[in-house]
Amino acid sequence: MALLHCQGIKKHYRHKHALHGLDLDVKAGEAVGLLGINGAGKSTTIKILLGLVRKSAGSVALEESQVGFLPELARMPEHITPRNFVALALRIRGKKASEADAALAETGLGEEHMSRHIRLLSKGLRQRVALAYALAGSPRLIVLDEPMSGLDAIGRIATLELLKKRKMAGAGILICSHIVPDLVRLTDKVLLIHQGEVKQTFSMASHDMDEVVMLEQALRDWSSQ
Amino acid sequence: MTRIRNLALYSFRELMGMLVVRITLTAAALLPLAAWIFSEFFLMELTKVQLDVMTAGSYLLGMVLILIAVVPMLGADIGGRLCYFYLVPPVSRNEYVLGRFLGAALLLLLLFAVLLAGSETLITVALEYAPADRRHGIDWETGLLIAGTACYQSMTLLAAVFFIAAWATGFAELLLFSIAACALFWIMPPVLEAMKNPFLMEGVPAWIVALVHGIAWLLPEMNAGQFILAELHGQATDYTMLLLHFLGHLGYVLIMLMACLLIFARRDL
Repeated sequence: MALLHCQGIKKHYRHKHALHGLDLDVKAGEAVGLLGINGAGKSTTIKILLGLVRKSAGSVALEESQVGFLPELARMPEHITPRNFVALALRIRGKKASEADAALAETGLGEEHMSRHIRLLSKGLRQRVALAYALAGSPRLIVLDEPMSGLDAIGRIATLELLKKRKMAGAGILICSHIVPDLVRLTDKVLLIHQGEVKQTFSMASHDMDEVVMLEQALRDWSSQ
Repeated sequence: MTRIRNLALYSFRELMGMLVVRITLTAAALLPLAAWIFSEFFLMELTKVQLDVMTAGSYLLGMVLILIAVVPMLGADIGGRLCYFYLVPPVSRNEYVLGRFLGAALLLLLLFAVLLAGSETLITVALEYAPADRRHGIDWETGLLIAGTACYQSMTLLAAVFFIAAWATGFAELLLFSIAACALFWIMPPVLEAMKNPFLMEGVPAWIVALVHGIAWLLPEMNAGQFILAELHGQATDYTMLLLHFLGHLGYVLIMLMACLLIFARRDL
């Protein structure tokens, strides 16, 4: 069952065509990766799917009413505690706010950081809070824009494991990342986006180094054109 | 409705987490003391002077709280893309705007509850200890009038700030236009009122007269101080005019919010 289905998405700015008819599906229990160089149209695609940016043409069908979203390079609300911030996500998704501690602990945030203002946390810890916000309440569709930004090696591995668990539990994941090995480890297919179009689709079967090399080569080939 | 309520309570909590908000609320709580010291310092231990200071302070603190707390919050939401967290399904743009507005309105209500308590304390002391010739027309209603008018005038400013946030691209733009709105709301209406004088308008082209009247209609009247001034001078409060003044502000808030919702629903974030 497709949790997200979009067809022919186009986005024109005044002097620029950002997307040229992009098609995308995310099914339950499936992880889809978006790969491309800076300015390829990955983040614009995500923003259009979530209604943050208006599309010029095409259709988007969100079958799931609840979406967990981690924006790229997100500034965080500074004058609130991680506990209260994640509690909002839970309440919005119809869950109990008391689950906030568990959601934060799942992303590796220590108990001692949960009741401090977010402005007092390091970049990596903030990223964990943002991830907890996206994953709190187990939304069926999870959209992540550069989720590993600012995380240390242990944090990256733990996040990948957490996302794999969510996928196994039936969540659909759409992830945009510049870290090719992470995409290979997590996703079932990767869409290579260049100049606002899906140029190639890769199925990830073995999740090994060969696929990493293949994706990196394809990325180099397209970016040099 | 549940999501709006959740967002409102969250926004209130976020605003209360700001140090500047807690300082402003403390200043509001200390305002009666400041009014007392001010009048004593100048050997003008008149209750009227104390309540004048309370009135000016209340109007000022309402405006300050919006500029130093609500504007940065909305600026971070729009310019810093914090709204991305709040605006994903199932939250609609209308729910987000209304939730944020109600959260900020709750904070203003708290401020004016503190100011009301301060004003009533001053009035109680005045009625108890001030000589009869210095009590003027003051009674417990005066405190309600000070806090109430300051409250609804600040709500108008809050709605205007939300309207600006609907199209502003970031904090700097929002702050600039919000300060401009404050200046326009406080300064322009009396100037325009004076300009509408038939004597002055004699010989002025008709289109300029129409323009002056049009601009005067666009701006809210932030002159509720006149009702308090009348009360402090022992004149009876004109409740019909007060009600009309309040309704004018209520209408302004509704129009600004509607415009905000319409524009915000159509913008790219």
